[in-house]
Amino acid sequence: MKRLNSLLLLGALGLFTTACESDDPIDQPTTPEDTGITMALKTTGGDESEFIIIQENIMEGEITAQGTGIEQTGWRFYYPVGNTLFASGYSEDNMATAYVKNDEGEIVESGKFTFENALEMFGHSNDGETLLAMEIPRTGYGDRKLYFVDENTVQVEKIVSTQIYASETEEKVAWPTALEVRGNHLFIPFHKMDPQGHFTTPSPDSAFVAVYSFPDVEEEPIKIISDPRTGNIGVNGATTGLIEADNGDLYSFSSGAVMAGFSPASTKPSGILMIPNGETEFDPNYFFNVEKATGGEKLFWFDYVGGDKAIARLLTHDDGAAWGAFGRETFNQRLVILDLEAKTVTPVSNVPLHAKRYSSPVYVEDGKVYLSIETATEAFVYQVDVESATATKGAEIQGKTIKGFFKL
Amino acid sequence: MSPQSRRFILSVQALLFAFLASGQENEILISGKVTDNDSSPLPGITVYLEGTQNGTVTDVNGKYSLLVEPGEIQLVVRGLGFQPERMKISISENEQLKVNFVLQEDQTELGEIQITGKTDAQVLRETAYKVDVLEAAKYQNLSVDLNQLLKGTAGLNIRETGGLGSGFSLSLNGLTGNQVRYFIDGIPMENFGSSLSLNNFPVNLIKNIEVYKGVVPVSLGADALGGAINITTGSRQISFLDAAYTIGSFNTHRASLNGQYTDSEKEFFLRLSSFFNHSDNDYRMQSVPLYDLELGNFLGDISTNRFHSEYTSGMAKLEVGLLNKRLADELSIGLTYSENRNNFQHPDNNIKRVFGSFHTTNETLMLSSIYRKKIGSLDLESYILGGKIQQRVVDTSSYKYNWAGGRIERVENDMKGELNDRRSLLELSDNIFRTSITAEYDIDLNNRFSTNFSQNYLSRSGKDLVNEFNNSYSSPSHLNKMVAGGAYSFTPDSGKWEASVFGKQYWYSGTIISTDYLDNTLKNELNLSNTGFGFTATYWPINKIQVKASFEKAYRMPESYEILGDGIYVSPNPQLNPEKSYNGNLGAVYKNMVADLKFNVETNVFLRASQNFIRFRPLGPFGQYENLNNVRTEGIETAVELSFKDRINLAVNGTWQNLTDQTKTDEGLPNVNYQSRIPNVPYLFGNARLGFRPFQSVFGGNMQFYWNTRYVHEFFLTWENLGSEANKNVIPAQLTHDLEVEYSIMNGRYNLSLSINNLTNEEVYDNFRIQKPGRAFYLKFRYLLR
Repeated sequence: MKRLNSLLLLGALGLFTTACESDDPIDQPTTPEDTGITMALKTTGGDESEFIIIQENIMEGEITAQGTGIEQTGWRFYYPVGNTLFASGYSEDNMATAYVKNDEGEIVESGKFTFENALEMFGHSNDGETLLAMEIPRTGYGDRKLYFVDENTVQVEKIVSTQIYASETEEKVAWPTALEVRGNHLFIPFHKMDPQGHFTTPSPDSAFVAVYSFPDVEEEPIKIISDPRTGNIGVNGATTGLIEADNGDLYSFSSGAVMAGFSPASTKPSGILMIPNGETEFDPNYFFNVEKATGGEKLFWFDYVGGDKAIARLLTHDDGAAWGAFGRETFNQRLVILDLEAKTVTPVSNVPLHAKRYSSPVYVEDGKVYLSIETATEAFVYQVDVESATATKGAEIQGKTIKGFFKL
Repeated sequence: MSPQSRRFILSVQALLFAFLASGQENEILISGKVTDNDSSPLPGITVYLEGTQNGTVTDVNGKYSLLVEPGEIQLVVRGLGFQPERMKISISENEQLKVNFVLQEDQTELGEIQITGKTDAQVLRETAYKVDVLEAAKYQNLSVDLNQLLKGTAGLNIRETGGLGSGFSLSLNGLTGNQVRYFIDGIPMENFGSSLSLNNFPVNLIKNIEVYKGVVPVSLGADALGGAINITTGSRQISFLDAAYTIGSFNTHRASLNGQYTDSEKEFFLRLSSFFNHSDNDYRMQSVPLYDLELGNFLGDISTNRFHSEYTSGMAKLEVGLLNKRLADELSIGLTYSENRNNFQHPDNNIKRVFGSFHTTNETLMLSSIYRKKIGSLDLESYILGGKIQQRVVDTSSYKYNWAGGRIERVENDMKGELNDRRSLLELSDNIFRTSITAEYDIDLNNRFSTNFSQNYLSRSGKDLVNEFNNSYSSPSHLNKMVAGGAYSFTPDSGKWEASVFGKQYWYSGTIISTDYLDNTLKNELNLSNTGFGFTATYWPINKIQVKASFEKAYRMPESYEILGDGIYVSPNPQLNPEKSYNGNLGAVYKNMVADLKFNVETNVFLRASQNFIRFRPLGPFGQYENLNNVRTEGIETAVELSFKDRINLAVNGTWQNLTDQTKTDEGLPNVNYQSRIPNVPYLFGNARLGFRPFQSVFGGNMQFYWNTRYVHEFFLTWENLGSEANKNVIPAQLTHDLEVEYSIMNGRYNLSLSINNLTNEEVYDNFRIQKPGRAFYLKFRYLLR
């Protein structure tokens, strides 16, 4: 991911011009496709260029950026709100661009805005009109900045500054792992992290969620709730630390794994907590101990797929390197369907163990989820039938991964 | 052959002809000096007794000495490019003679006249390296710096991010940045600090620039992966004073003062080299995005002047030395001080981020000593250099700027800097220590051996005075590079060809102390050893054609930041291997003269197969440099030079290079860009330069016009094969013209020149969306006393 420091700056500003250039994407249409699925494709080689591409059939053939797709500059987060896809960059290209599908079925740019460093956490209002995005200082006790961006006009309407949580005496700050709106509340689960920028997790043995009023988010949360039954909620880079079920219950996942970036690891089991609809406290009677249910596996990612079910990736072991789940050294991620109410874990059949570092929120259509599954030597689209927990192997990905599937 | 390359050849001859200096008995000593019309000493000129094997060759200072038996002798003095001189002398015993010669340049075709008789060998000793020599003297009345001169070389491209002092990236036959090494009088310039980078040097301080492509002589002991550029600063044997001042657009002021005193006995010299540069660089940017400061909403693209791009630098170097002593032909000591301040308007890769305060400074202090001695057939050259380089990166402003020049202050607890995540004042302190010794020995007429040993030590420490969380470099780290090389050359009696083979051994060692993300101190000991080798060969099938071939397996050792990390987001990687490259050149030179028209055509094809390119690999918020990429470059470059009666001179060159990604897999998956053209690198470019002297004399002075045109073909920012054609990001083609007029009186003592750069005021870009200056005027005054 992105690192900013003076040394690299010297390199970048000095004799060495890297291939990382800035860019304003151009308002040019891609190939018209009426019914296609929009994808954020990360290619292999060199700077791993990323492209937004649209393709009708993603279950056969291949998915490639050869001669097609809207070129992105540098690493991008992709987050959909309503019918708009936001692609947001890092400091090499500190801007976000919004894309929509026009009447001809083409993906076109609908606006852009800039920010200072990087927006690293995303959410949206329940009416689908507002993107929520948070800029998070990597060091120090400064404010986290919550951007409110109109989905239609792509104008930043306001920025609210909040620390979420900070303690200078304990030397801890908050790193948010979801921006989840429900009713008139905004829930922000977070890691307690060192302020030096080492991304260590000095309080790994509790779950924390800051609760704000919404839409009038104040500088201070209404309260911070915590729960000692499991570790910090969420994983760096994933926007789905907290998800909302059909009935309005909120479910969080806690990993605590070294491979997922925890340092030290949590001594508490990896599992799922619930904040019931209408309430702003964890349900003391609900805990889905996933680690126990799987005989020792830890959650790395989950997302809501309907019917009180979540799709999840479990780390079959936690013996890899620190942050190893973000790399391609260890292929130990197992795809499962979690029944949040029944607290069951069902493996998704026909999917190999894999590694996957970043996902936009999943796209679900007719009870089917599309995922990018990458093994040591190949990358394929898989369509997962939630009900039967079976997967069908689809098109081959000519690249490293598809970061997200979207229907605009 | 151009006059530039002649000088190079002369010095090669100097080494080869030393064998003639064999002693005899009952002899007396004749000595003296050989100079050209301008009293510049001529090295490598053969001085011999007609009809005998008794002879010698002038040294680097143009001096010779010869033992002869008393009696009538005829002394012959000849050198490539000069009309031979003969002198009859009768010598009695117990006499010491001093005889000086002034050689006239040979206006007929060089090389051609030398093919007959005794001097065949001279011609054949033209170097087999693919080397271009730029003679800076021709440009010293003009407002140019080194980068601008270099840009005119075939196969070489320089990409700049702004005006004077801005970041630049030089690429030579497709290899870029620190893959090309720089030298000044044979001393490596790496880590000298930004105030001594090439674009600081005004042309007046330079004599020649030698550009070695792909294959680098053993004597420049360095880990140069893709070639080397050696700047030479001229003879220490003459006295002169050269003062120049340039004033120009964007409040540009450039001054240089360069003087040397050498006593009449040529036994002592004192030299001052100095420059001062300043520019506001406030040129117009035609299209930059304006964002509002509070919320960051896009307000549209605007056209505006840069307001925070000032650059100032200065350097002074004082040298004193002894010349022509029994134990040393030259022994000198030099003290250099330089500093600069560079204001950044934006990062070098992004115009969306606008700075109003961010800047860097650099101070460099160096002490160096050079020793040269020729002992019979053995040539020794050695240097020793120590230096302290301080760099400061100042990102302490609490303000945020936009392109309209507006700013707002951040709230108190917002510690964001303009560039860095947190305000920072990073001070880096480097100590460098370098030594080298080169010995070249002529075994006999046919065999020659040369060897070099170089050592290059760097220790780096640093601290952040503002960001208490930044512990990078708090423990000093040490790196030492050593290169040892040996070369053997053979020339047959026929003189039709010459070949040499060489080997280089690289050692890299060091202690790296770093902190990991848990603040644990890690200590790593490094030890790398690699062997490179190569050959050069040249052949003259007929007199007017020379064929050259050269090959090297070369290495570049990792830079300190690549291996050390930065203590924050870049983790150290002691397992990092050097980049390596197989470099080959094959070329031919054809030269001829028809009536008053001289022409010279040179074509070279080159191949660079480079492996283990070092690239950053991210892992979560962290990452490290790893050996990830293989790249192959095939290319061709051609240069044509025509001159008519020394009045009109036209030089045209063009380069096409095809850089392709040869990395088959990326982290185990097929590389979708395997064998595709590497993006964001110019691949087709060329230059034309027309010089024209309309009249012999204008009001008693010399007037000269120059017209320069440069073209760089458009290229893609990212992979050509990927993305829809309609919205590919492109760095557009550049076609720029410069016009220069110079006027000199009193035999070059007073000189005035006017330069108009980018005459047609084109909007030009070397890097995506980062515009370079538009039309600019420069007026230069120069006073030269010889």
